[in-house]
Amino acid sequence: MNIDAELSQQLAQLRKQFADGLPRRIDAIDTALDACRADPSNDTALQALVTVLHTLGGAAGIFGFSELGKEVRNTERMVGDWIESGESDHDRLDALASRISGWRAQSTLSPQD
Amino acid sequence: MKPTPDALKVLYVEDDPDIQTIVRIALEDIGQLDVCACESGAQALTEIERFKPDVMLLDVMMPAMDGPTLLGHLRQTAHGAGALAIFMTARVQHSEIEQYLALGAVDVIPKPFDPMTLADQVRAIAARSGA
Repeated sequence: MNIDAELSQQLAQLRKQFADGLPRRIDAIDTALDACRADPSNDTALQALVTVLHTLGGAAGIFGFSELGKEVRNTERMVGDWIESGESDHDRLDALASRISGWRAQSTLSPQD
Repeated sequence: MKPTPDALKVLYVEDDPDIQTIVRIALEDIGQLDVCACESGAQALTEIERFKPDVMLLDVMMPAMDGPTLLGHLRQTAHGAGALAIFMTARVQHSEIEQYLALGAVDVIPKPFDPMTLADQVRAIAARSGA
């Protein structure tokens, strides 16, 4: 096998490994979101949510989940804005929970690029 | 694949193991750079004087010590004082980039990046910045 084919295979394997781990990453977001829903004014919990969103947002695009990555990064910015403006509340967090359910469906798909 | 003796030396700090693996492949196997990968700021501070990098490639958001804080500490070390710093982050709004450059980074590589061209990006930034 030539080096390019070997590298392509290695990258494909990493993409698969990332895809396999996506549900676990979304679980971490759900857990962080649950803490926020328990107390929407808790900035520490919201910051923890931003951190787990950031981790997935940065990684998803690299591993071929561009659309998911964009959505997650937009969500990270949105939650960051809530922290700055003090606008986090139960309704917003409930809507976010629905959005995250959609990500779970996307995570069962193959990488898009 | 072993880097050549004159390969650019990159100290790379990233806490996410999946991203760290793909970046190592991108820089070492695809780009033929000499890479020391660290999973935390503390590890980077231990490795810098041994590895003597030309470039410090730092993730921004990391637990315990974030990239900007780490850069401040690296600048206090004998070798880190003069090495080029590049941040790698998904936070690339104009104001955020301005902030990284004000901290002394020579450039910012946005996430997501393309693994096939990442090493060329690092090499181009280093060449432009005099490494």
